[in-house]
Amino acid sequence: MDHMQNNQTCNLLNGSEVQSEAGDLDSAQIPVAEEAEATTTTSTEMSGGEAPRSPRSSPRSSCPLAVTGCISGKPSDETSGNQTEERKEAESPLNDEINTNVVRLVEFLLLKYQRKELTTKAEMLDCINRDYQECYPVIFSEASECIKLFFGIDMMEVDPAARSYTLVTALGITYDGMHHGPQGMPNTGLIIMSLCIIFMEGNCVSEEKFWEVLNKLGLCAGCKHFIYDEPRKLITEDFVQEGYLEYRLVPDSDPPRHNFLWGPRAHAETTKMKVLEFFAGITKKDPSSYPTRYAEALRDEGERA
Amino acid sequence: ATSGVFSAVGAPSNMQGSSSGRAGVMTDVHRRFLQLLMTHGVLEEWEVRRLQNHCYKVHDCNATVDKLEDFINNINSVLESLYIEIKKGITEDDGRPIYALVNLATTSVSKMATDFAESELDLFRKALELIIDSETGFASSTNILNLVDQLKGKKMRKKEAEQVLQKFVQSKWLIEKEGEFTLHGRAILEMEQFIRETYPDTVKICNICHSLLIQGQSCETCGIRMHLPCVAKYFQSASEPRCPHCNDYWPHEIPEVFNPEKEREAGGSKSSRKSLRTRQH
Repeated sequence: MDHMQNNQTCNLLNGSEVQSEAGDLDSAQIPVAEEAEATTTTSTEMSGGEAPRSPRSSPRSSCPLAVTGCISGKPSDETSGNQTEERKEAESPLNDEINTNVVRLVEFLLLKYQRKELTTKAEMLDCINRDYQECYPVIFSEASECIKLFFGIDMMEVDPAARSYTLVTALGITYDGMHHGPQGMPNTGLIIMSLCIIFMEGNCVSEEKFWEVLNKLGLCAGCKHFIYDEPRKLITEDFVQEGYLEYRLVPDSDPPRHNFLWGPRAHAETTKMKVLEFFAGITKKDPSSYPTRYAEALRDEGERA
Repeated sequence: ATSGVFSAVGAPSNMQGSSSGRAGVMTDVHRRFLQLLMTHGVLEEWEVRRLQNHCYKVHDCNATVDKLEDFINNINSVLESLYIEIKKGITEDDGRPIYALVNLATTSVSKMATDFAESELDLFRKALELIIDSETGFASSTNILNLVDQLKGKKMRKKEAEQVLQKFVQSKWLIEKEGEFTLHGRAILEMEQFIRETYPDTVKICNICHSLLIQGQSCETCGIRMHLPCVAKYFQSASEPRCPHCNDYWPHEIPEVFNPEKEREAGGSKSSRKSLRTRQH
């Protein structure tokens, strides 16, 4: 732990800066509350008891995955001409089989994503029709493209030796706060704040220090906050359960003490640089005015690339 | 280099099932929406709206939020080629609209397959059969647990089976009421096709919407069945409710049509709503 940095966060929030910091944070929090309350009230006519869709009996051999137009949002009349040509191109049996296998693999990967599990090349090969396993590279690359473009999910190689992969969001923190906390109050802001504090304090911060800093920002462990009901439970239990934080017991501590660290999901979904930028935004400074942290964040970016 | 898998999106008239007049466009707003919808499994309509707003706020806060139906049709037109869609249904007991991301190509309980062990899946299948066979759409805990010896896979004791049933309730595949189990709206959304194909003789269908029926009311004379929300809609302004098939007097209590506005006023919590469960068939 970097002791200088330890005090730095506190110092920033001490004295006259506290007011502006707390002020900044309060205003940072308000959008969070607004986000929760501003549910649309348009009541669309939704008919209950829909007529069943007729099951698709014919395989979609002619028009496979349509992506490029979707992304660039080309107007429909421009693309319809292209599509007829490409449809004719795509109508060969090999393409059909590849498409079918891509669809199968995508389905498998989505299930893995939901379960937050790693997958391996062996497992993915299993999804594919045995006769087409030699086409695995093409199928794999198209399935990866697919989940990235349609679902914003990245397939990252975890262990080149074991050929294992993890599926993570490419879009930053996924937590939408719908499970925990008072209904209608997304807690993403609190997660980001917690990650900020942990990072700025050297990636591992004692519980006492953590609450001290959070306290200065207007949130205290035992009391109810107007937005974050019982932040203590949210932070030490719910966020830990979600994988964003780690609440680690200090060995041989009596009475037992804990430290906070980033959890695996935080590492997967965001970066030190993003968190530093967020913190710098709050304190209205440039990220590079925290040289140690900035250097660390740059190293982290380099490692990820 | 691609095998023709990626091609320009076509005009809606070339695509089956697309009802909106626009080509599908996928942005980070839609991607995040999909990720989060997948994570939650199934969501009620008010939750889906909140989710949609959240995604706009995060990725494109200046844009006007699309009408929900258009937003979803848009996504579905893009996902069509993957045989995946966001499907909308209504809960059988009180007509609440729900949404889930569903695989259309698979006709097995595959979505559950990665979450549960072989014996657990088999327990679910047994419960499913009892539910479909039953008159009321409910299977008692006792009857399900009595089948524990017949399960494939690792041997399961009744105590364990009770816990597995609770797991199903927590992950929204089953609903429990007073010691009896029925299918959650999510299971119906995801497995309707599978159920209709696997149990064609015993499956029940609603006379009004022609979809799979697990819970509902039935005519005591001719035996036709209707979902509670379908009953509510059909008889909404009827002074004297009569069976649409045989015209005999409809003997059951007519439930109220689900009103999302009233729901919001009441505070929106499901537990505060009195849900009508009719067991007379």
